[in-house]
Amino acid sequence: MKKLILLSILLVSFTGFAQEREKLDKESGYFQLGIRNTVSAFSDDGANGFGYGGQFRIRVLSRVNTDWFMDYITTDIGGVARRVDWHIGWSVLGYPLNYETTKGKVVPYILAGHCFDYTKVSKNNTDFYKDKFSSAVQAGIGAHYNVTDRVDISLTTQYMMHLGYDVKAEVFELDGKKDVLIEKQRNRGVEGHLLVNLSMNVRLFDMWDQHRKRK
Amino acid sequence: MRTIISTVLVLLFTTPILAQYERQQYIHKHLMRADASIVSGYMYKSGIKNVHVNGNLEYYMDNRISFRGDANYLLGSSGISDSMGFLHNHSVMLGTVFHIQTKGHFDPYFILQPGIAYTQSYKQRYFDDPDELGGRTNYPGVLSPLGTAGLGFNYYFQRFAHLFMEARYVYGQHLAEAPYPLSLEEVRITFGLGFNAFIIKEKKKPE
Repeated sequence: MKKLILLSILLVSFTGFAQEREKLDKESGYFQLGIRNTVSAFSDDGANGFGYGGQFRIRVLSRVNTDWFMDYITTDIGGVARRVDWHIGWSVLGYPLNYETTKGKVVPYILAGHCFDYTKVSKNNTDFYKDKFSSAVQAGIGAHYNVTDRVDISLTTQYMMHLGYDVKAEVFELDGKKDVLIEKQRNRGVEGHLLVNLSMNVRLFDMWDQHRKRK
Repeated sequence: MRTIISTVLVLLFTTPILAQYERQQYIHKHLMRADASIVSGYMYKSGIKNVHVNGNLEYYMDNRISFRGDANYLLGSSGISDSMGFLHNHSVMLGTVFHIQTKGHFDPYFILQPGIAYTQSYKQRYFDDPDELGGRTNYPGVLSPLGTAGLGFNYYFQRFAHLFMEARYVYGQHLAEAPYPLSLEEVRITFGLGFNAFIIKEKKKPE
């Protein structure tokens, strides 16, 4: 009798798992491609940058997505110097609330990730510059707005911390004329800035082809 | 009198035909459109007037959303800002177009397109400048990120052609080896004739 009860519990729970699995599988496996504009703010230089970039996303689970991105950001430093940043990296997105890709739905998420970056700070009107390669970690929040079942607009705010030798630019005035001091720090440190991305993404295909197989 | 009667008769006969024609809406999924036009641009921060040539290609995902890629080439630029001007300001943009649905062939839209420009500036030197010799200094070209937003409409008056008009705002900054940065903020206006085609035929649903 005990065996029969145990078997019944197992059978019922397996049915539940199967249903849950099917529900999960409806969202996972999709490949998305997108482009974005980025605003960089609150950096140590006190200057705001503007950038262009792109990303692709691979959704590994219904509630977990991965975002692989590249950004090119330029920043004017007080009209006397300029900063160029290249970011290439990845983030993991988690959907704690709604996760369905349905027209009109808002899907909030949290994200965290890592990137490699190259920074070059140059003085205007000269060929003087200092540059660095470093690594960074980032974390933040965002939301997708599903314009259609395949297209979304995403707004993300994340804080990025660069780990390595920072290149600093300090603007000063001498005899009423603006000038800049650019130096590469001798010690490794942590330097950060806030990144706000607005992106448009399209769901292109199912990488695992699971839905077609199920049909 | 005869002319008036004949005009009225022509109108009476053609109106039902046009009405039937109107029912067949061209704006739907799989529509692909393209155009090439001359764009008039004004950089209001520096007072520079530009003329670009633009080419674009757009694909409708459905009646409301389409993807569009644009390429712009600066044909000419008049005016300088504090002795600086642009030699090159060519850009490519890729983005999404949000269409407002109508029942006819009128297709108003809002466009959001990030982009990137290749920009090169110069500084004009004058003979009366005691420190400088006459001539022009050309600075190395750089890549400048752009953000653009605009409003416009298409009017699909025919199966293979349409009229369009668009106004857009371009945001960006030219940061180069030049003495100081130049704003790329610009208002661009264009209109003209475009072409449309249906690249994929919609499958008929079984009755």
